[in-house]
Amino acid sequence: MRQFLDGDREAANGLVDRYQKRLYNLALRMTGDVLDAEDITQTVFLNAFLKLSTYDPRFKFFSWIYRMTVNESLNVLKRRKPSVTLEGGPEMPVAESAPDRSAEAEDRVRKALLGLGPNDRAVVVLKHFLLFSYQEIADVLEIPVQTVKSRLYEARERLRLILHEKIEEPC
Amino acid sequence: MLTQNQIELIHQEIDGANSPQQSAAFRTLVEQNPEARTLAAELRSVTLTLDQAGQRDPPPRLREAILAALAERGRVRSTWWDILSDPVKAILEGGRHMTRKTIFIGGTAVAAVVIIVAGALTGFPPAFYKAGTIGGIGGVEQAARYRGRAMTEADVTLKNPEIQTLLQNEQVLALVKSDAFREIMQSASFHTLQANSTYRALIANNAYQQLQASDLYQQLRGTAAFHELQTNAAYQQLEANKAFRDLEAQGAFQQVQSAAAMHQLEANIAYRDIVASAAYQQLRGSAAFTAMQSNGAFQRLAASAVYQQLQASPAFRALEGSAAFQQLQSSNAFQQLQSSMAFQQLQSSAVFQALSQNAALSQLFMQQVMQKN
Repeated sequence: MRQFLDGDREAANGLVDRYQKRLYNLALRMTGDVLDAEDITQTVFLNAFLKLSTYDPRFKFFSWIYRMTVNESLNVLKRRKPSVTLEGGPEMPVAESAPDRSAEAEDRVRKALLGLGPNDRAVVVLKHFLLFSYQEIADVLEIPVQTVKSRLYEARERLRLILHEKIEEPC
Repeated sequence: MLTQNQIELIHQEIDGANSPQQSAAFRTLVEQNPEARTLAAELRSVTLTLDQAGQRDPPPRLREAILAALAERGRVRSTWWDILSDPVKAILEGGRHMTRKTIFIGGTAVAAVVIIVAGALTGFPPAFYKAGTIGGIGGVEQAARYRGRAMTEADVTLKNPEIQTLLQNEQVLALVKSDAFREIMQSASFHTLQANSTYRALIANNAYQQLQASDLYQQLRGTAAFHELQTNAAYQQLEANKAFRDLEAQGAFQQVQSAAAMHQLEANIAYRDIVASAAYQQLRGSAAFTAMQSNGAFQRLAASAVYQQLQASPAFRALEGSAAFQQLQSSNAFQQLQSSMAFQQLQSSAVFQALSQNAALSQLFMQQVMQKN
């Protein structure tokens, strides 16, 4: 981290290798769009680089960079036109050899996640796709642990209703 | 109607966040309350659906695009970057680094330049089955006498001094006259493997010899679940990851049954990455994987240095996943031969290596041997 702060290219490579997949997945699940996820991931690394002077080393680097990813994803979602929110983006990537069933499941998850509000979605993605603890989610989103729990439980309840077709699936 | 506390207890159990006392309360609740039982089952189904989606690999161009954008900012510098970036700078500077089009064009151009330059400098990619290398494991020389020309029937004769020397050893002679050896010499899998330089390198490797001689391996290679796991593509992909091998050696994937161990594991970032990977999501549905993770012999084998060393080799994993290797490993005759010193001696002989790659020459060799008193 110190080397990255000093502008070391090898350290930059290391940080990109370590975080790009996780940040990309966070952005992908937040937006449901592979191109937005690529843009967001790149923006976050650039912003991290540009805002190094504002980074306080007393705090965890990962909380800082994940927070930037969530915020950038929320910005992208705000800028989107409502008409393209759910159906406008390219399909989620699925392994080449994956059977159709896998693509269907992936699409189902994508639509269910997009049926959540962005703040609730962020909690679900951090919990289920990045496997963060309640405390880590609270650190990233800068909210109390109790708020993390209540958002997560409400979001999961909504997902339960969507996935079990008790309420209409969003598009 | 469930209370808020009961709902929270169910969610926390799903997240593995309950204390042992809370978990006990949860179990009592779902046993006694059908509504709680239904909610818990449906929430588990939701988490399973999300888990199965797993993490996706970012496109390869993304890394290059990020590094290109960082470099463009002018503060992250290196000689390598300066060399590689010049041809694509014009493209990158044609627009802002943040556009998707630029990312695609620039990333692809960088990747192409990297591949071309790296190929010119290093000769990469090498031939996979390059003689004598199996991903860092020391290899053996091919039969020097027959290198550059094919071995012919004329070479397979008792007059051949190399064959004479070989058969002067009584233990080797006894071995080649045994039923097990005759069976193996008729096996297409054996000829296929003998023709594979990676396999020949492997049999000369100490770690492999130790593995073959270990009781644990002998015990496991007779089981269907072990075979199935070794040929599972997702397992092979995960075995390439040191963190996975380390966790497997610790029995981590068995421990997830215990809430306390689960909490400990969740703090491990490598574990999280593995569990979130698409390969693991595929693997965890495999009955063979589950069976092996709860198999004491497999756990001890996975924790052994030789197994870890061999699994770290991409070539070994590829070989292990091949049908010929699997077929041979599950053959009783081959297992019998593997434990014989005479067979190891024979396998290390250049002339035997050369002739055993060919079914017709192998048959001729056996005819010659059987004529010898």
